Amino acid sequence: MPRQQQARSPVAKYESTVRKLKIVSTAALILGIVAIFASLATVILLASELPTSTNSPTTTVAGTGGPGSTLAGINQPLNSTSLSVINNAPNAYFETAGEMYLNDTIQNPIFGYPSFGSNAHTVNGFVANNKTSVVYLGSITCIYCGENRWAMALALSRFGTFSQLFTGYSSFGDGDVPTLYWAAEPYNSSTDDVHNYYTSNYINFVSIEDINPITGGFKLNPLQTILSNLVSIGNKTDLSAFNYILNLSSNTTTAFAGTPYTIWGRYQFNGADAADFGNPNQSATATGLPYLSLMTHGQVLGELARPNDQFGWTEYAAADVYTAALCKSLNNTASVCTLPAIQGIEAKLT
Amino acid sequence: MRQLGTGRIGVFAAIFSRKAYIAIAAASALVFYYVFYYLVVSDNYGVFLVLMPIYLIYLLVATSGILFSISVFTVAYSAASRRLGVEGGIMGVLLPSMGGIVAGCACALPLLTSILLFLGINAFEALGIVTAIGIYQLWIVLAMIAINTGMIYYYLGRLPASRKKRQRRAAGL
Repeated sequence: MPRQQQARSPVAKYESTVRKLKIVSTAALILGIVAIFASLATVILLASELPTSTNSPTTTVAGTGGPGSTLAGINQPLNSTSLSVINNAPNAYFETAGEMYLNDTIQNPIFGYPSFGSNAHTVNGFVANNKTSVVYLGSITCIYCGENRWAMALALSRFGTFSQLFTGYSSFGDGDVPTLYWAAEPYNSSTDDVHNYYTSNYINFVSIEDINPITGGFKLNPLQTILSNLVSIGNKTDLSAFNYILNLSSNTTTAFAGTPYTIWGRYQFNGADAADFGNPNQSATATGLPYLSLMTHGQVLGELARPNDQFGWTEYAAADVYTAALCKSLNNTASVCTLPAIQGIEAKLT
Repeated sequence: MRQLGTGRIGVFAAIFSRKAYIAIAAASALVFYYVFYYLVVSDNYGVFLVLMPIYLIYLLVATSGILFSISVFTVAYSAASRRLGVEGGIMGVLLPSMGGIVAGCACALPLLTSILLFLGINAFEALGIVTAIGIYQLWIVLAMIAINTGMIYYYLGRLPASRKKRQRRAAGL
């Protein structure tokens, strides 16, 4: 009898272990099935939300979706009050933001100071009509172009005037962030546009905006396509500016590596000069949209009219960087160049 | 020698019934996530800008961690470690890293563009490649998750077969 009891004990232990392993196995199997279904559901959900056609110029998008799929008010010209927020922004805002930037109290990333490294490089500059130039090559589909145009507009307003600006968005697949367009854009087409409504005694503003359907993702036309579109447009200055970018691209430092690509006098910037998608404590949505995607054009303009948080001040600080680059290129001939913060930032540019 | 259950589920259960391998999977997933995070942040001026559902990223690093842990187990378990498990471990490291490079903003992806330029591809061709990857970044990440899952399935299938081979060898068959 005792021997039988001893013989049962290892068997009982074995059966207990097998039971536990079966529980673990079943749990792992359930988790695995859940993971598979989660992946499949994601694929199906995202496939159904993504636009099915990215090449239908006749499709009109009403923009009735929420953040991430809205085009509400696209291509509307800014009214006089909104335009004034850009054109008549007080120099005091540029000064305050510039001081914050120099004191390292701007919490959103801005190039060069202190932690993120510089994306600005010295170049000879593009001169046309005996004036130095700001050259912009970007895409309406691009999220950083969308983010960057606010700061660009503020900076350009220090050296000239916009008679028109338009409300726009980046593409659905690239954040759908509210932005400014230099001109009303054919956002369902695949083309390039060089129109803008900017005039200045100091500089040329050459804008080359690559356009692809806004309901898709980020898309940039191939070089040959951009070139042939510019040839069709037939503007010599724009073609020369594009050729200048091609020449810069033979050098890996200044090579065109993505949009936005800008030249501010004698300074070429690879990418945006800041990443201002909201306040630092405002995190992205669960589907990955940045906070800026949840804002309206009115809210952004409201921030620029009365900056009182990191988002607003970052826009002005980012504009200060571009302003400083131009001031240095123009030997400080514009009045904004006398601001102490601008001179401080100029000192940091190589 | 550890007793492995029959079938892939049994093998999976046997491996992850040990706390050490759960710890390896968790630790490696954490490392992979921070590699992914660092690469995205490097590409986006310090902003963790990922324009896809974050749970897909978690799934990618979780499957990579599990794959890495299984690879460690197979190296420890098998005498033929050069043929078993190492490839899975490498893949577990590579895929989240690649995910980090492709999952940033499609506008620029300067890290990937820099690599392509270094390889001698001219700027506009490089940008063409980068934007193509940017357009399909979501599908690329889904494919990586599928590859990880497939490799987990494959290695779990090889382990009982390897045990049977050794048993036959030991019995002189």
